[in-house]
Amino acid sequence: MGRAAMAEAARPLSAGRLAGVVAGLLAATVVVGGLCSLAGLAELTWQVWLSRVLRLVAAAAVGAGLAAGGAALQALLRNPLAEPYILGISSGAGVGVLLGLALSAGGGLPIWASTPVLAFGGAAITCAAVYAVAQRRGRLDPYSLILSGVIVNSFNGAIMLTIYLYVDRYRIADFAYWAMGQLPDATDLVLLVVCGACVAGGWLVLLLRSAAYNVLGLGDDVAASSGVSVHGLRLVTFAAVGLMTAAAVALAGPVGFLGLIVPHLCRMVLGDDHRLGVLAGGFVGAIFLMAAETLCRTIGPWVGAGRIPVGILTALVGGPVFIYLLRRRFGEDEA
Amino acid sequence: MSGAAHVLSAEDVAFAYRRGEPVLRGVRFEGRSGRLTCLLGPNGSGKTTLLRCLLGRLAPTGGAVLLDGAPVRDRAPRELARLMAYVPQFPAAAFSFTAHQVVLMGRYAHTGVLGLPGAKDLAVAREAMKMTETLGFADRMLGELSGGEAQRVMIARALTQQPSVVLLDEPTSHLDIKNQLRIYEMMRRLAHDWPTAVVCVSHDVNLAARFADDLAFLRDGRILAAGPPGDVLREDILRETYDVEIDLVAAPPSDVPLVRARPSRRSPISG
Amino acid sequence: MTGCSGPAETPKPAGPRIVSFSPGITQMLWDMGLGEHVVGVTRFCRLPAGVERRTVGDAMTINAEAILAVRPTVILAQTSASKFQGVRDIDPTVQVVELKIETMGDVLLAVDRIGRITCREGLARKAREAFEGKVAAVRKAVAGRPAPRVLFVMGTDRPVAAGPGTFLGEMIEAAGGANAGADLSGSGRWRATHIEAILSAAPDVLICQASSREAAPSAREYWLRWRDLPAAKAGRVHVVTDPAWTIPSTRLADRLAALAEMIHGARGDG
Repeated sequence: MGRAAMAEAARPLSAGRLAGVVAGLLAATVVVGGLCSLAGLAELTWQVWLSRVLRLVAAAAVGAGLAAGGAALQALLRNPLAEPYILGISSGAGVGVLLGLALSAGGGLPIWASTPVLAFGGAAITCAAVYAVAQRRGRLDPYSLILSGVIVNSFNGAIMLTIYLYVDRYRIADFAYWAMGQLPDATDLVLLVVCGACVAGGWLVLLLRSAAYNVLGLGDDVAASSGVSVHGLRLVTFAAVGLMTAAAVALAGPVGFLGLIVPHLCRMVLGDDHRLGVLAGGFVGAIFLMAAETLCRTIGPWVGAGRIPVGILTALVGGPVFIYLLRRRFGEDEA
Repeated sequence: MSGAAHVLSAEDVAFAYRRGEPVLRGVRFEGRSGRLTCLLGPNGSGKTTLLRCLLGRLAPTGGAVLLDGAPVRDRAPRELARLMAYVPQFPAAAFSFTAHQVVLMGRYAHTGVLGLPGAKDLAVAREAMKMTETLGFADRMLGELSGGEAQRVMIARALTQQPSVVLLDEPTSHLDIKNQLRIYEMMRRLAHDWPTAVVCVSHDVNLAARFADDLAFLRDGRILAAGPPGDVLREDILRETYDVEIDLVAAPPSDVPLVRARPSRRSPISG
Repeated sequence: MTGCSGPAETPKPAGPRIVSFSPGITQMLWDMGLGEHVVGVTRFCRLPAGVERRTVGDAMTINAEAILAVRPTVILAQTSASKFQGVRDIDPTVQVVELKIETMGDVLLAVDRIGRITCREGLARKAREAFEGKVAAVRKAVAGRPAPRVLFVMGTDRPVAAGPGTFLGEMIEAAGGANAGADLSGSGRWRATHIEAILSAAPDVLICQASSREAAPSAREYWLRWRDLPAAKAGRVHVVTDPAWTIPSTRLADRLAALAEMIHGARGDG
């Protein structure tokens, strides 16, 4: 962290600073969103602009949901490598979508069983499964949660490979593109409202608990004796992050790296205080994905595709950024 | 700081992590306002388990832990935090915060939703840091401080909870002599002057004996003896607790003798 | 459906502006003589020599704005029309048509439909007559000959065979062969299969589509090695490299004659 940033982060958080950060990031989000809505290939008419705005709102919801969820999860598990997909949610959504594709080849699926609904359903079921496997007398501990997520992810992967045997290659290609993570061309308003509400609600729940995450860093026993209900915090965070991630995956498929990288970036600038981290994470995630989506749409034709799935860009950028952060951390440890 | 007298008591507390393997077998124990009570015993005697039962983190399988007559498990976490505070053995933090920020975290049970500190919170924190002599490095990261400094910060953090009872788990096991003395003096001042009930799990009999008002010896999940050092520092009690032969060596001007373990006959060291 | 006659009320350019989202459909449009009306294609579409058209994406990466930038009046695709909802949200006047082309019959139906949509029924009729004519000619040429068992596969490592109900299956029958792919296990039209199943199916003629011209010799060698395969014993293994063999369009009729040659002709030479 820079010297000035460190000095700022060292003082106790005041309401003023918090409000300043919120105002600044909110303004930045609106500005970036506005600029992005003006960029594109078609002539700017009201319909074009409206379609762009809806897609940008969806991108903002996905970005905010994944980033804020990642920040909360990294705090809860006291592990900087945690991110929402370790809860098995992306693989669960994948199973749902792939199953739908397989079944739609045979007989028709009911109208309501669209890809986002299947993704959300798969994600929710997997979340419940991870909880069921990891819980001990209704309580979660970090180690068993991570382990359970890994196991469920692997199992879901096996299920998907099995489904491949019964599905033709065009549907497999369809699924492969979904699995890259991309915002759909047409934004379903009902879906946007429902998922947006899930993200907003989950984010609020996490924000209200962000002070507790700070205390949790001192250890379960110290936190509990300071007044934090540790088990309740774990359950609520798990449920909120699960909901936000399911909503994000329903909107855009599994967009990777955001939930991992954005919290790190925010910590580098603002420090470890989670009251700022969860708040800023959401905004920065939204800004990041709006910009990435716009970039993907404009670069697409250059490489011959209609557009590049935004998940490809986040992964391509996320990888090197993560390596840089890791090397930097090594450097700090040796210093 | 509280004016009233408070009592933390364990009434016939029994606890087993696994069925059939009891760790605590009917412990009767007490910590009172104005007194520093040190809990002693060999490894595996159940000291940490007892501490966690006293904190309310573990539910006793038999008996109960009472604070001023009411079971600690019945109180909501925030309410209990305003009465009882805990200092762990190793001051560790998963996230980077300054000493001042860590101390302010102790106000969690007193502050509102986002835990933003008000004037009162800052004042209480300041008092606590003054008492623990940690104001000097308030703006330094906890991870950069020495063992003794960090431990004092954790004690300051516990004090900001404005508790009536403070529980410490072997607070000086990894510190040098000077810091050990400093911490025990601090605990004694805390018990007598503020006043609070201070219960401390100790690893060093002599340190505890010098500063504590009461000692309690735990062995195999049972309290063998409890009382002022003058009463319970006896060869037979110490031998039964630690399973070694003991010599009590007079150390004037203190009334409390030094405890010296006698090595077994098989050891090359003589005398 | 937009009306085909009457004066234009909106200042739209004369004639349809077609965007094709499938290489097969692109081929058909040029075969029907509608190439001048095509304003956008996918990057996988192969255009006649010297012809250029704007690339607006492909069936997997649909960008409404890229499509609208060429101001189409109709989009022809082989995927579900709902994928183009983004285009219709912005400009509801754009027509999106899903054409299912899995069999030779489907090709003709698609030709008719394209003719109706673009108000060029005359061109459609001519294309249909040309297609049916070529097919009839081949059928006549092979009439009465014994029908060898023929298998068409894509690839060598994990071969996918043409089952019944595929256009290739129909072409094999029209060219006077019996589709051995019907005997392979599997429920889809295209059947992922393996060497043992192919040996059981015992085709007399094997036609393999290799991934590239460079891969062709090794593909032929691969199949010839399996001595228990009747086709290999007789040396009747043919390798084709033109990807258009597996793109259903009006060109199928042109390929039918070549297929008949492979099925009834002498030893294949790749």
